[in-house]
Amino acid sequence: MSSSATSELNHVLDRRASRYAVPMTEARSHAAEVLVFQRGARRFALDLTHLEALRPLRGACPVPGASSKVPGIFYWNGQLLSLHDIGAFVGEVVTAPRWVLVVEHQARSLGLLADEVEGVRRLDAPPDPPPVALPGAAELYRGLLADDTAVLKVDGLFHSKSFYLGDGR
Amino acid sequence: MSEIQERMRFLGFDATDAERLKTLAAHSEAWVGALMDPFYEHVNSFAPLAKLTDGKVDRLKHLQGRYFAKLFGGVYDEGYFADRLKVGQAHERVDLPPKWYLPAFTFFLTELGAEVFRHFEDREEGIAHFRSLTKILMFDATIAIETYLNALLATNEHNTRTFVSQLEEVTSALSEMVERLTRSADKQSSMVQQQSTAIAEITTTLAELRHTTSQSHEQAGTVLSTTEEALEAVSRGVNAVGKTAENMGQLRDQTDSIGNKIVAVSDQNQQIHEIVGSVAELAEQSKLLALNAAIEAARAGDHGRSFSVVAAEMRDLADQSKQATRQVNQILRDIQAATSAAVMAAEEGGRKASSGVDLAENTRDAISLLHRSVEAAADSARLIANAARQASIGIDQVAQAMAAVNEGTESVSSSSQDTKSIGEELISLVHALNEQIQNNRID
Repeated sequence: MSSSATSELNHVLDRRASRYAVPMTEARSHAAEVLVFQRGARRFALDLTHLEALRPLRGACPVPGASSKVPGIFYWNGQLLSLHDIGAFVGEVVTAPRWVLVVEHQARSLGLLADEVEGVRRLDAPPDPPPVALPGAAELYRGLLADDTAVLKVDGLFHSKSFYLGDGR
Repeated sequence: MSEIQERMRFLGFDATDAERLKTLAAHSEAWVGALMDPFYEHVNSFAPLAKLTDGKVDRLKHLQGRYFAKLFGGVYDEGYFADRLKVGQAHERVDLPPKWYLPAFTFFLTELGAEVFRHFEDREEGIAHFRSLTKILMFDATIAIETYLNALLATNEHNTRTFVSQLEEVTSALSEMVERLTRSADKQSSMVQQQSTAIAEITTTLAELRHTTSQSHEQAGTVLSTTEEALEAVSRGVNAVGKTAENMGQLRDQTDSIGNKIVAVSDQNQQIHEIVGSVAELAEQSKLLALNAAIEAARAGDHGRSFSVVAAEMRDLADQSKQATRQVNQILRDIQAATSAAVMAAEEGGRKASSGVDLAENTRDAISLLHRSVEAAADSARLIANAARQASIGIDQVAQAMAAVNEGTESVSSSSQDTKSIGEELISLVHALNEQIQNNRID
């Protein structure tokens, strides 16, 4: 192994060690990991602990006459789940999604459409409160990150009638 | 008193003398007849006289007999005088000069005188008859001399008249000729002047022509030099264009080869792109797997903490792979764009190389045509130079000839002036001669 490869390996190991070195209580109290994805022109984030899976959008079945916020259903691990479009909900001009995030909350699951999945981001501080003008601000958003990424409330996705059922706007 | 009577009186010849001569008539024929042969024998001993009497002696003897018959005839009147004038004129007509004629009188006077003296016994009688004979012979001799003189005067007068007449004709002709000569001299002088003017103009024109010809020769030389340089340049151009055409042909072949190689590179690039697509797909799958692993680790709570680290590393690797594939794809796109541009450039280069080959061949043809044209121009310039040189030589020769003609013209001018002067002098002489002729005319 060359010296540069050894140096790279040591760097990776040091980085892992620094992560392990964080005290568990402190890590849990302050740090959270979210999955950042994009739908339309906006970027959203969702807590990893509420995700079951991330999968390519294949085999989805559109429901005729359904709202654009809940355009169809798909099959997941032996059950049919509804597909929800947060982009359509906030009024974004949306395109064909590539991904679906399987979100789970209190033994209920739904599919959330995404164009691109950027990755996992660690939140070391709570996000800023969402602006009132944002549609469903109080129900769906925990807050906004510095780059205007909207951090979603998982329970809001399941309890907001306007989002979960596609009613209203 | 008549002329004859006056002459007879002056001689002292009278009727007694006539009677005495008549008395001798009966003897005179015999005396004269005896003298004829000795006389003509003596005469013919002189060449000029023999020439006159040749073949005429008998006739002359007859005439001589008649003459002496009248001498002793006793009649000495106008008829005798006229007869004696005829005798004198006849001798003058045959150009018998007095130096021969008068001695002949002497011959007959002395011989007949001797016969007279012998005839008379009386001496006085003989002297008297001799005197009468002498008087009549002197009368005849006087008439003969006068006849000679008159004939001579008439001849001289005739000759003089003839001479004057001829001289007048000559002077008239001479005067006319002198006038013609003067007019001719004037005309010649005028022509000489015109000729001098023409020669001067021709000489000036020749000088200009020589200058022009010299310039033409120099210019032809310059053109020839230039065309020779142009020929050399054209030859170099033909060689250069030939090499260019060859190089362009090689360039076209190389461009075609490059184009083919670039197409091959493009094909390989496409294969790499497909491979990279597979790698990207693998990276995507890896990322998906890592994200799901992260989800599982998060759901596992503290038990999944170590797994979440591995999942994060996998995500990083997947992100790095994806980033790498994006970079490779970008590079491949750049390569594809570059190869496409290279293919197009190669095709364009091939077309331009073909066009360059055609252009070079056309240029070579054009330069070859130019070469022939320049060669023709060089030949023309050479011909012009030779013609100008020949013309210059010819002009020099003509100039020399014109100088000689000019000298001749000046000489002719001088001669015509002399001729005119001589003509004027001749006119003066003719006028003076005419005046002399008029002064000495015999009318």
